[in-house]
Amino acid sequence: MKTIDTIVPEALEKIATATQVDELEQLRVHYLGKHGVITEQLKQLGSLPPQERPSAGNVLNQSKLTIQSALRDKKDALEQQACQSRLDQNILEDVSLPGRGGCAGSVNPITLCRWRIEDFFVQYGFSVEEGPEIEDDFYNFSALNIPEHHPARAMHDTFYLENGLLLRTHTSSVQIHALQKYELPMRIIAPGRVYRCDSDITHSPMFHQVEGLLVDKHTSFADLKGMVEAFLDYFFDDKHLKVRFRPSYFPFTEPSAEVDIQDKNGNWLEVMGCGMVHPNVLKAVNRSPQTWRGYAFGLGIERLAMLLCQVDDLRLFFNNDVRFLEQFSDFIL
Amino acid sequence: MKISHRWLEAYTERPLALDTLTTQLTQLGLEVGTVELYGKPLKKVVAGCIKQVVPHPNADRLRVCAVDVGQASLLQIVCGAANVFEGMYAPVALPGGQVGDLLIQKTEIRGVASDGMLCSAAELGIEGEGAGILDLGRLVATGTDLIDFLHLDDTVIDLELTPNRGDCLSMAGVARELAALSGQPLKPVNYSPIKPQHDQEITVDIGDGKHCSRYLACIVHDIDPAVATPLWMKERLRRCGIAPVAVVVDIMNYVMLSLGQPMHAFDFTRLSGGIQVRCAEPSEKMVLLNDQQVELTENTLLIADAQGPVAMAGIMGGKHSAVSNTTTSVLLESAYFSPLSITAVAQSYKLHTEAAYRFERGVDFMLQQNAICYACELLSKICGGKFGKITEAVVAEALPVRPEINLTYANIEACLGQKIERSQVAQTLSSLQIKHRPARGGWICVPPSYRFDLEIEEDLFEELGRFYGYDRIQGNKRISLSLQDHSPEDILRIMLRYWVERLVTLGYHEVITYSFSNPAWFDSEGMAPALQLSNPISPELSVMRTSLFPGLLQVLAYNLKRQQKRLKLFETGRTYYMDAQQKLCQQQTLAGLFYGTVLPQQWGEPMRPADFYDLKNDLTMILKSLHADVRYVALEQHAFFHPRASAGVQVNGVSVGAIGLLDPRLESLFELSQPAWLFELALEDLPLTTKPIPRYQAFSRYPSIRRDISIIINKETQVSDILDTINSLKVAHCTQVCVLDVYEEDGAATGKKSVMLGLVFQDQTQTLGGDQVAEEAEKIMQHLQQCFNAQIKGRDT
Repeated sequence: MKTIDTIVPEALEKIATATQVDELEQLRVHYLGKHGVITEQLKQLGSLPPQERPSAGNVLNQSKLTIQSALRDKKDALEQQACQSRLDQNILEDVSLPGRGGCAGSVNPITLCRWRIEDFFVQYGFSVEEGPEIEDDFYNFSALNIPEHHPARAMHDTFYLENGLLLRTHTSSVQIHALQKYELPMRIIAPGRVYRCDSDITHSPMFHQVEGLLVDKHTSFADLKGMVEAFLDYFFDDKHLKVRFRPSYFPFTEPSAEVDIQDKNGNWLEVMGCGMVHPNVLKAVNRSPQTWRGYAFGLGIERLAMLLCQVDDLRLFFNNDVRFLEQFSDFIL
Repeated sequence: MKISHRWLEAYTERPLALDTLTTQLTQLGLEVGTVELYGKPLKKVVAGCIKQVVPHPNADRLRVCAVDVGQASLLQIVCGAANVFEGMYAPVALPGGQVGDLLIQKTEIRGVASDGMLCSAAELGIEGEGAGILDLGRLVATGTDLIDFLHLDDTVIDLELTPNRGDCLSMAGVARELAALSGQPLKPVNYSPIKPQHDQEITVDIGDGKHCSRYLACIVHDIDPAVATPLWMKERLRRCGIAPVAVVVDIMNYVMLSLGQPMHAFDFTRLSGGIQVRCAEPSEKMVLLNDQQVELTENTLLIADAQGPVAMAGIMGGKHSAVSNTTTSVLLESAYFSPLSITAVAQSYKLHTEAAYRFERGVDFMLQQNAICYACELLSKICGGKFGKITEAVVAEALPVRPEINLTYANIEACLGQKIERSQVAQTLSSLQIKHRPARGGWICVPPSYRFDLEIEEDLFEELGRFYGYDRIQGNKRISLSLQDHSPEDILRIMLRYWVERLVTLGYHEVITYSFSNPAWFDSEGMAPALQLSNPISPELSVMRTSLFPGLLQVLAYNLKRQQKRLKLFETGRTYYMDAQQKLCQQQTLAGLFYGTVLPQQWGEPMRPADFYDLKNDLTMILKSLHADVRYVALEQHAFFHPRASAGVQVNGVSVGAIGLLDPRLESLFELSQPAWLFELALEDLPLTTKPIPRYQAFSRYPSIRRDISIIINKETQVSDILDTINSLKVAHCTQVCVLDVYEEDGAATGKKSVMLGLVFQDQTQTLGGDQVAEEAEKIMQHLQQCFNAQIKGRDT
């Protein structure tokens, strides 16, 4: 059996030459583990004569502490070394290289603007209605106080289906659906596709509108004006936006107004139409105009999007050229 | 409608600054479209009379004219035009004047002094008067300032009038509105009744007056058809967008533009017997002024004589009785036709004439007398016409009745949200010529005959609002809140927005394509027939789409032609079809397309073409938000898909869409060179009654243990069946099974595939022992052997 005098130097030598933390663990088990060399010797202390036990025990304990301490120091040193080597080795030569993976697509600018409009009105308690796109004469015209042969019909170049139905020419038709569907008071906006058989540089046979309708017991043109002004300020993100209301005509509102905003050059640009709900509209859906008064407004999303995002050609919205769409990637409107 | 600034001033009898004018028109609701300066810059242009024309001594083509311009001595002017003659009245630009870019000075031409310039029409900015020096006729005194006389410094304003304002379709009508707003007086437009110059009359029968309640007629003889329309009149017509034709027709148009009353002149010698206003009889025909032969429908209102139809009432005259360049006697017509009798007819024949336009919108039914007198006066003055007695047929009971409207003072503020003083209300009513008398709480009002758009109290609110000024009404920024239920549509909208954002994160671009499409895409066998448009803008856009795929594929093709290589696209929109019960469906639909490589080309990643499972994962990212049972099942038949590389999508057992590879036979139609992967979902068929709300479930605090197993099964066996089977065993602690790998076993010939599964075991209350896990895993493997004849290839420990 090796004496303690040889065990300790040998252990220290092995610890000193160890290069891995694992090796140190093996050495710890070898010397200090349950059946380790030192542990075994400590177990045999009892077999020594009583007078030798204190000094032998002292030597063994000292040896144990020495090995423990050497192990700890070496472990710290190895770990530090490992850290250092990672610091030395894991170096990114070029952080400017692009990241890997997919890239985002884009929300269509029409949708972005539609969301921007929805968000404004939803916070004022409007709910969002869609309504059908294929309509009959009642919803698109007659309930909106546009009887057959009314000159206002000539303003709508209507697409007809062979079954006699038509493609809605405006989202105003959703007013009628909502008035039939909901209890009063109510307030809705209705975004969606509309159709007119007209196609040239400035007209698309399909485009998008948003209709708004609020019906309550006490509501006035001044309320409408306040709402529209607040909306336009929000939409164009301009507290000093110059807004002009001028008298106009829609069969389903009375009084009616067109709304213009002023551009940088001082020109007035038409952006929406609005007015107080015509009593005939309420009557068409069996609501009493004596009890209820409402306001309605309508706007074209493409028109607003063109103004907001400086798109100078309506056709860009429907060509779906990715080079156009990509420009709206990563924008929250 | 185009209006001439200077002509309008003749009615307001005061100068109108252009800025103020356009602002006032806008405030009145008469929308100003374009505003264009008329003519050219001109200075010092007067009327002159050429007294003498002699050849130029040194030039064959030039002439030397002595011109009287109202000054003490004649001016000597050298002129190159061939049409000058002694006695001609012509425009003369005096020295110091300007004609367009040309500054006029005393000069010498080929050795002869020239003290001004004789001008052509084009040089003055007048279109349509032919070449050569402008012949002014004899109506102008020499020395008259022509810029002023012919209003050559005019502006043309295009008014975009709304259909309710038929009363503003004339100079007098617009001037009346301006005067009402400004409170300034207006030139009276009453023309004195005429004294008949002969005694020939015609009988007029208007029946019950339902369609025509007033018809005035007057015979005018001795018209000199050779007389040219005076230049000032032609100019006014032209500026208002009406081309001059011949003197009688021009006068008719001039009266219409002046007063708003459409007039018609028949060649009297072509008429036989009296005039009758009636509806067409079955199979009646006539040839119109524009040479169009029309078969008349029975609702068509006609002017007829003893021989038959002579005009389509209020729309267009007939060819037979049209005024020609030899006509010396005419019958003038000035009538009131009811708007509805004209609108339907004009629309059905697609005859959108100036007359029909005005009658459709309502012509003042008190205007006819005034207009016919004005026309007689002009015919008499300009071409020597001698008029007879005016015949008036009228059915007083059939004339429009202006309603009595109760205007309650308190309602004005309730509607407008703006207090307007009582006195101001009364004043506005007066200036609009609305008769009003006090009544309880307000007034009883009767609108004037020329206003067809004032019927109810709300109409008067608008009048009061626009005269008070919309801009002066203070917008109210307070809003009351009323809470409403979310409709199912609203939930779909919220979900859709989430899906759009997710698809965009996954790299998809949102496109918007037309809802109508090419019928060629939708005529495959087994497809629901597409709804047909009866008036499409082109045959390629003539049916309502039943799928979003053609739109996506066309956008793909469009972009591939523009050097794009890889595209992920989606669209949300409706598809339209009749369901099994023949009910019209307008289904909200979402469709996506994946073309090209999985990732854009980049460093450190190999380029791998996208396949079914790449698209499926994107679709899963959408469908997961439903928290429902989603299954991919065999697809029976689909017009757009490869029959064996596609699947139907079921959510909670309901078919909601499909996913797969574009049928290779369609690739060439869209000029594709690589496979295109597509999916489509019918959004309204998804289970979306409420937004799902996340509910927390406690997870185990004890470690899980994983056992991976490899099994060999028949190639046709669906992995989903394996997973379903394992789940159905309800092995106590098997909480999760994932597919780690799938590959073909030793080549295709064996008909086998190897599937590696990861089984995860966990208990809520304790750490599981290895023996327990082994036992449960064994149970699963035994079952797979039994059910699928699975060969257990390996297991780890």
